[in-house]
Amino acid sequence: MRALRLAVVVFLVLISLATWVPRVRVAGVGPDLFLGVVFFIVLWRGAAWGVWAGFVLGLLVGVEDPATLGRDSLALGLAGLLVGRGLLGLDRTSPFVIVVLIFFAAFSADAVRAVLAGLSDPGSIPLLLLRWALPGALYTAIVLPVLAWTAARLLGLEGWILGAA
Amino acid sequence: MRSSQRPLSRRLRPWLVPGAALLLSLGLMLLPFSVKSGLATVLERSVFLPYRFAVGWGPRSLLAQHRAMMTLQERARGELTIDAALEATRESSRLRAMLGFRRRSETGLLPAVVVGLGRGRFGDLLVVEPADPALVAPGMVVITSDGLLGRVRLWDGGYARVECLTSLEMAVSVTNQRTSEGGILKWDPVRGGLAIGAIPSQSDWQLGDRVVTSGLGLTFPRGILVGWVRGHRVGRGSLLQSIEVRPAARAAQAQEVFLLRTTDTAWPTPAERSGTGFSAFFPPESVRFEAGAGQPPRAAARPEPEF
Repeated sequence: MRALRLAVVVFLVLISLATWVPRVRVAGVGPDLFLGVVFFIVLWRGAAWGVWAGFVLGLLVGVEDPATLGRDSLALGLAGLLVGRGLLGLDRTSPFVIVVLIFFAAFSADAVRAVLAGLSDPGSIPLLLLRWALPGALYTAIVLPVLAWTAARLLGLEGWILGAA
Repeated sequence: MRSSQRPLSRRLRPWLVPGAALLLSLGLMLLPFSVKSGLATVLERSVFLPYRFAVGWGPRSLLAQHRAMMTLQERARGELTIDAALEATRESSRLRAMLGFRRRSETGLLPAVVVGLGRGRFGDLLVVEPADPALVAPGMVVITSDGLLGRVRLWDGGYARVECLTSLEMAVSVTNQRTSEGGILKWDPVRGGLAIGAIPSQSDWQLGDRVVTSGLGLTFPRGILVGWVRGHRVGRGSLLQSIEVRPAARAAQAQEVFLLRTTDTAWPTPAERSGTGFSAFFPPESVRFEAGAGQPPRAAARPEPEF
């Protein structure tokens, strides 16, 4: 049942990525919804599940452009690991903790992508981080909690946000 | 000895499962492109098949149907302009015949419908379904009614993946249609736009100048509209500048695209080129263009064909 629910969530995320997400991009930067899926899987099931979910979702992105196969898997997997380790000893019911963790996870995922994309020109990596990773992480940290809060309210779940209870 | 190993193994245990996933990701990245491509095809037709059909890769998906409807609407609008375009083509042919010009190459357009957008974070990638799959090959140039969009990077059964100009791997040899000065256009991921780098600062590039493909490099035919100059940047103390270009065609807005089939029918036949050396392999206008290092004499410049 959980697997089916997860498949539905991924389906909705893909629909979103093909419909409204491109329309809310600001200067090419949009929220990273796949990271949101990884984040809330870590909240529900722990770091190992999150890392493997990141790996599979990264493959889903990679099959569209095989030249980058593995890049998004590594980025999302590392983000899942970061969230899993970061949650240890922290109060997951705190909105502040959730937002900060989403920010760092999104930044780390985009940072991995930027580093791998800029390997041929290492000088451009800091600029890529400033241009894409930082604003993308900020945007993601704003949008994801709002979406998760809305979803938690619509589904009648406990806690202020998905998986926080 | 055993007591010292147990704590270490316990400490490592939580890292093993996530570490395996990360190592697998690294391994995937190091694979050669052909293996990656095959793996992607297998995954797309097995594990991710439901998503492919549901979310926009498949022709029966809601998004594809919606795009098909929009395409029909666009086609209906386009037919209104076909008569005018035909008349212009006939006039062009008459003038060419009167002046003794030959077409450098003949191109055919293969229509295709956009059925999916890439979901990567850097760059744009489109998934298109061509009208006749048998005619598609990797490397084919892709245009819209607005201008150059990119080229076919991968051909997989009924779908082609189009690498757009806003992609890290793309580089296009372009020329300023007004001054015939050339350069290499690439996507600048830092600024998020197209730019022509390493242009001498005294070069004549003005706002609004049309930028078209130069035909050098043999990948893109000459004269396809790429965009318009929208600014320039000069580094501090540098003698070179970077020209920023506003793209004519945008991947996010593309609904129907055309794959360009090029056949160099006007080039010399084997009989014509026998024993005459270099000049026989290239038409005279091509030789003049090469000799001018991307800057043919202005007197020889004439309007480029547009798409």
